[in-house]
Amino acid sequence: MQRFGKKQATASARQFLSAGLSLLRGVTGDDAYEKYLAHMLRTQPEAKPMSATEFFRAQLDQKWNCVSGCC
Amino acid sequence: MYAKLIGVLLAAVGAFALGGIALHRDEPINSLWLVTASVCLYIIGYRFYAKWIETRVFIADYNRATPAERLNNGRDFLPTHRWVVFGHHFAAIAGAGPLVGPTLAMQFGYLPGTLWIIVGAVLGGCVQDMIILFMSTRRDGRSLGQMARDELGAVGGTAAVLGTVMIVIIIIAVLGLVIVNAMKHSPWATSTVFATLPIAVFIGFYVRYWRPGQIMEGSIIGLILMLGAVVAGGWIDHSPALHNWLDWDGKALAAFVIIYAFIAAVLPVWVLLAPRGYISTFLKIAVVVLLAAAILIMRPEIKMPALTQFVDGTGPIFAGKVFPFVFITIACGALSGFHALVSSGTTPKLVANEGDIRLAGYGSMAVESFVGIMAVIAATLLDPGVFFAINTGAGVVGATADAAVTTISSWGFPVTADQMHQLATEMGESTLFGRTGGAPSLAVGMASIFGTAFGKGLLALWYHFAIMFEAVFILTTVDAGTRVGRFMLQDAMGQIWKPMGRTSWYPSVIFSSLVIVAAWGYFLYVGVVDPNGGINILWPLFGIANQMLAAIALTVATGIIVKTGRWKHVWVTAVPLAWIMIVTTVAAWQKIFSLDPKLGFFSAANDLAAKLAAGELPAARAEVAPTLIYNQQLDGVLTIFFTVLMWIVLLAMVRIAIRQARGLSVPPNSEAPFVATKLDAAALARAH
Repeated sequence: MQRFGKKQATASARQFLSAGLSLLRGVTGDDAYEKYLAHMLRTQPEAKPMSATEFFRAQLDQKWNCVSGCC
Repeated sequence: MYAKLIGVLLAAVGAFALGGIALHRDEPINSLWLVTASVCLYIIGYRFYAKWIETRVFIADYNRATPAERLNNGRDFLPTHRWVVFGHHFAAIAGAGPLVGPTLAMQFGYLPGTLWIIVGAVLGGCVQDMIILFMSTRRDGRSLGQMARDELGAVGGTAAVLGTVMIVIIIIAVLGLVIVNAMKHSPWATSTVFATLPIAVFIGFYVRYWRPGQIMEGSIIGLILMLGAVVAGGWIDHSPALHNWLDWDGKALAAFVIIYAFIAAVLPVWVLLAPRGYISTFLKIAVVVLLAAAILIMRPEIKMPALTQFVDGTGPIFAGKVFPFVFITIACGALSGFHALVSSGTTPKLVANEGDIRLAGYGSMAVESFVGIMAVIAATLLDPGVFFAINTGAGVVGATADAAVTTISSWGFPVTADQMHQLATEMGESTLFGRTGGAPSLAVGMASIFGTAFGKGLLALWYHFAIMFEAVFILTTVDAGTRVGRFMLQDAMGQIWKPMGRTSWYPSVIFSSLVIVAAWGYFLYVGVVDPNGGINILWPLFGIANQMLAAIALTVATGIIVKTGRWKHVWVTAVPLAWIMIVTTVAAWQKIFSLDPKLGFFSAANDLAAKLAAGELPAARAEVAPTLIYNQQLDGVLTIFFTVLMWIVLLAMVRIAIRQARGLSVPPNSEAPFVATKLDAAALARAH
């Protein structure tokens, strides 16, 4: 898991923006499939992971089957 | 040393600003005082109080593996960067709630609501969210209902689940009413809200078929299309044929919301719910940042007095004295029980380290509380007369513009029909009188802030942008809530007859969706036909339900702290618990037993029944009177139900606390056993 301190983040505007973008991708879930692939590769390299389409469908079903939001 | 110095400085500035607000009288105060006081106190609360709770009360262990690490499946259990967890959690807890409640509570003046938002969040709401998140993280991400059952026994668990279903139904009805009142006879708002539906469906197809998983890209396109819809709404408004076609009354709009929500609950989520959820997350973050920037640029003066005469309970927007009703009206933004469901839902499965819980739990709620402060500023920068003219129903002030301005001016808040007409024209509306529910007055306030900060010529656009923004939140809550209610109902029915529990079996899906939609649709319909605007009845009921859930969450938390034997720290949750029990019980008592027909549910029903029998009501009112009488009685029964539920859970906890104190057996602590983390310890040490 990647973490960054204040020094690196302010080191350059570009780095700052790309860090911001990667955080935003984390919040929206754009990077969910990449993380899933990395996880599968690390834990079960022999198993065939879901395709991107299958993965995002499975994500949706799971996310909306519980209390996911508030007033 | 350095950190402590900053802390002392912040405390001094915060205390000075808060004192300034509290002692300021008789002349307008600048909104920067509110911003300064709240931000200083959030930072102090976060840095010192939350840190103290983290190290002393729940004793976070940075070396302990969280469920995200132990149960990592690459999907829902996943160690996630702390700022991403923060973003997720904030997007999940913040919606229309912290915007509407504070707006309505401004009838008491700005002071009571502001103090409660700041103090309630720092000592109550943020603490609740953080502690429930911590407790759920220690218990493999279990839900509040499950924790209540494990720690307090079956009675507590059942009460928590029942309370959850009821609050979902009430919240959908009240938010549905807010949006219906904003769209009523407003072709511009109506067309914009309608346009959000095909846009969401388009984005649904986009991220499913054309660009799978490109959620951010899809959201940005959706956002641009929605901004286009706001502009297009203005053209539609200027075309006479389309104008008439989209000029709907309250009943028609309520029917639309009900039918639409049923369809959305039955359809697969990718078609409508999920894509609008993405767009709404973007919109939420963008508007919060934009609004904060605009307030700092504009620095509006607050025109509402610190206290109005309505603290005595004669208020036109809702009945009841400032105590306890300011604490019931403002739930989201200060202390909201609903957050405990999110804190024990998806968030605990993402937390990578126990040291991250403070940011997600306490930090997100502090930001939501700040959203509440911004809603206060948006409501109070209006002339008080204008604020009351927008937020008071025709049943209270009179149906014509002249009658309304005469009544409101007689309260000491001068306003003229011309002024209201000119404001409505500026905002691109035919009228702003009697638009109860808080959304339109907030939109006027936001339009003034944005207009002053970023260009005045676009007031009408800003107004309808604000309405669209609230509609997107509210419709997401309406659909997602209906779905959640549907799942809970199917789960319960599945216990009786197996096939009903299958979430993909269409007869069961349709039946359970119909039941849930009918339940909240009923309250929405009654709210629409009520000549007093409906909000004055429904919002207090929602507040009582939400605070009941907060009491249940704080009870569970207190029970767990008691069982760890750390008696000297019990006050951290016991004090907010005691406060919210007192507030909710007093409010419920007044709503049930008050003899004032404006305040008590049953006395209102009796009063209306007597007038109906005596033939004192005009024909239009006599027609809806039986519905209103029945509804007031139902609301009274529901209030009794909520109060009893809350006390049952509290007594279950007190029983366990007494047994613990006497050394008798209690249900065992359901924490998952300790496993050491294998994540990068050096990086963790740096981060905390």
